[in-house]
Amino acid sequence: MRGGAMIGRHRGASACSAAAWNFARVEEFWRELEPLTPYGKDYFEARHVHSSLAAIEADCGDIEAYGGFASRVRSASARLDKLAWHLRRIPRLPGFGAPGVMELFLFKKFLSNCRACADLLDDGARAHFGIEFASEELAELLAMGGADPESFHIASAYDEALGPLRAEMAGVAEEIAQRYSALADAVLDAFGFDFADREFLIVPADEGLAAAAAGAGRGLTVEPFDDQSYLVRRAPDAALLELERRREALREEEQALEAAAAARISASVDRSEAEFARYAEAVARLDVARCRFLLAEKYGLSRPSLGGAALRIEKGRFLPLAGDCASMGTAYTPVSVELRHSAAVLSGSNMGGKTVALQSILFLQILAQSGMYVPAELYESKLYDFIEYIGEGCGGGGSKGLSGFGREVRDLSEVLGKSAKGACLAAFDEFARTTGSEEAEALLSEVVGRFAEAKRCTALFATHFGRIERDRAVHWLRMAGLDRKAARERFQKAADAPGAAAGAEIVAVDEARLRDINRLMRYEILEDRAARGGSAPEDEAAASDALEIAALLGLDAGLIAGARRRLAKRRGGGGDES
Amino acid sequence: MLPAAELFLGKVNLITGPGKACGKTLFAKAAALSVRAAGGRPALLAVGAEGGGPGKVSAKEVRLEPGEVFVTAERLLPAATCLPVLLEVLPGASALGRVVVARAARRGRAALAGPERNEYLAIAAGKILEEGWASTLIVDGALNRLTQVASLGKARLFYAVVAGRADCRSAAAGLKAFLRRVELPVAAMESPNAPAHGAYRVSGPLTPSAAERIPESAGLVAIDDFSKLFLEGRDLDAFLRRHGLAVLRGVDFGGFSVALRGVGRGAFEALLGEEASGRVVSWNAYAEDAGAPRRIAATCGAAP
Repeated sequence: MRGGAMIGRHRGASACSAAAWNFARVEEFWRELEPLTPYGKDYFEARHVHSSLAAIEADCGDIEAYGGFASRVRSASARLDKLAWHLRRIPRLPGFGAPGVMELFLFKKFLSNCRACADLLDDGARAHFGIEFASEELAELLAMGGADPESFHIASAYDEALGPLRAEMAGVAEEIAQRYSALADAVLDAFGFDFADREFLIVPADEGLAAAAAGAGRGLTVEPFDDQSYLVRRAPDAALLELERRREALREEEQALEAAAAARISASVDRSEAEFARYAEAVARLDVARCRFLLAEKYGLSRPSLGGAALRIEKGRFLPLAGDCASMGTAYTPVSVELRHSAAVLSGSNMGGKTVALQSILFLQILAQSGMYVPAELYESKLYDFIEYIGEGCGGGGSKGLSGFGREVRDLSEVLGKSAKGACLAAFDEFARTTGSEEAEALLSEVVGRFAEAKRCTALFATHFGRIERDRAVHWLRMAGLDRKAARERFQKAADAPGAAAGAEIVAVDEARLRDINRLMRYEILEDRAARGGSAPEDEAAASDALEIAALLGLDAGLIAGARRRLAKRRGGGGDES
Repeated sequence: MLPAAELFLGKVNLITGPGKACGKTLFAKAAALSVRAAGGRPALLAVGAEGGGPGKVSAKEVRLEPGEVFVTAERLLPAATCLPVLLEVLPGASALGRVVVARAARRGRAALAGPERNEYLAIAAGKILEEGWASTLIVDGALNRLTQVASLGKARLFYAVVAGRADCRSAAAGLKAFLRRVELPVAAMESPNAPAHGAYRVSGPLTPSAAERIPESAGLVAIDDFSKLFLEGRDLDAFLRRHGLAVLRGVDFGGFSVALRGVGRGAFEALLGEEASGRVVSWNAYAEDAGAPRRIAATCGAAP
């Protein structure tokens, strides 16, 4: 019984493509989920992303229910620890209809820990997760197999014939032990051999020969060991052999009685199959809700609102990157954005954060649609049947030249097909970057326009291309980009510092400088008002950021100046732009 | 003479040896007898390099007293006469079915069968200790399980060997070589799994080809534990002339068990040398105690 199938609301294929999952670095967050039961582990292993609002609401409801329970028992934190302890001990149920001792052990262990979990929950949580324990009779039956809640054997209580039979076996065993003890005493008296419960003894040759010479019937067999010693073993006499034979016969009777008892107990277990299925589903939900709640607490996550008409994020945190920034000692800027149209184009210079913006949105949406709370102060979004990503790294292999473009085109065709079937969230990171800019801009313009008309879908395009046609119902956005004034002050200070050479100097590019530039970037998403209103694209700022960044990274000043002149010429101006 | 119980009490005792028929199982049984004689209740486990090929589990039948814990496989349970009470089903499976931890409810016999994966042995041992089912474990097993079980922290290693007249020299040389490996110094650590700055870490086995890849400039070379050392004799000597060698994890070495056949103890000790002889904790565990009075007490382990 896998957890994914156990939780009945989760059916059908996952809404999220592997490419989108990987691009959004969801796995890094997913690995923090720590389910305790085999069913919880199965469930998270499936990495299912819903496209059903009912399923998502139910998952969020479970988180809320668990959170409510946890806060009600907060003062008795040992109770939550005990709950975790029992969840961890719940085994995977074996198949029904197999009357083995091992299966019965697993059923007993499952039931006892399930009941313990039910006892630790309060009425509200018990009812919500459907974990009311109703198998007292079966639990009592299995408890006869061992006083410990997690041990099992076919105890004498299971068959009235077993008790007397085992008593008889114990009597025979005692007789055997006494007989062997008597034999051991006799051997010790006669030969001085103290076996001390060992199976055989190695004795000096003269003693071994003396024992052999004493003849049969003295309870010993003797055989050569090496040229100095003999190996002696205790040999059962006729009386012992008869006792052993009788014990073996009793053992066979015992086995038959045990097998019959196991079959009867198994039949009782089989009659409770539906109950077990209910318990397994309940513990799976409880385990999954607990994991999600713990992460929600750890990261201050909030409940998303799905099924709306537009995407709206306030201070959404892309947790993998936030963690990276924390370890590098750099500041992280949460994302806030509201998308009013089906297509949005996000422009900005290199290192400006466009890719991160796409990752952030996908990360939040995937978490929301997988039934999690999300790291945002507010998250409202549509519900999508498909969550897709097209860009570098998608589908494996490099993206150089035609092979990269070919993959993008293939993926685009698939996404277009899906967008015709259902609601689709698609993120395009520098689509057509590897082909000529004129054709790329034309193609990209057309693709943007196509998605602008697909009202059930949301397509996000991060691009540095500046000539996308802007006469459609498209949301135009840009990354805030470099704080150029602050950047120049920062690097001028460094240049003016004692020891620095005056005048133009080639500054070595190093990691510290890159981090500095990162710190000077503004990662807010802004409306690209100029793009919407006029013909002069706002990407002037983005393009200038690129040259500015290049200058700050220490590229030859002459190259920078020449590039600026060309840029100004192309824009119809003249002279240097600095 | 049975080995002293104090060697084993409170430890996870790994009984290993150079290969098949080296006396591991007999020494493991002797250890169990010794622990029982001292009033202890050992837990018995076995892992199998003997008795089968890959994926197979070796079955070793043992006598159990009431209350003693052991590890066996599903298909061996019906034949157990000790009325096993199941305590845990371990992850994974073996050729003989699932592996279980059980407790003997009465005196009887059962066949031990071990997990097929190294980490499951550590899980089994860890579970027995964690649940308090036993504090002394005796594991009849192969050397390649060392890394996982040694991580339990209470592991003690014993090395069993049988030496006959024909192979006594090679057996003695093997013991001395083993002692050399097991007594490798432990590297100073910067953090768990990270040797101190300057040590060249080799993760994985240190084989002759791996040794060749180590830069000449490497001073101290650190390996995980001695079971990862696959250099011997002259290869090892040559390596040690070029580099220092240390382990990240040392091992508590309990000593050697030596069973002699056709060779006198004195002669074998002469081959071993003083240092290795001093590490033998059991000579011929199944030999009658030499020099004991004829009429000694029948109680196991009682002093004459």
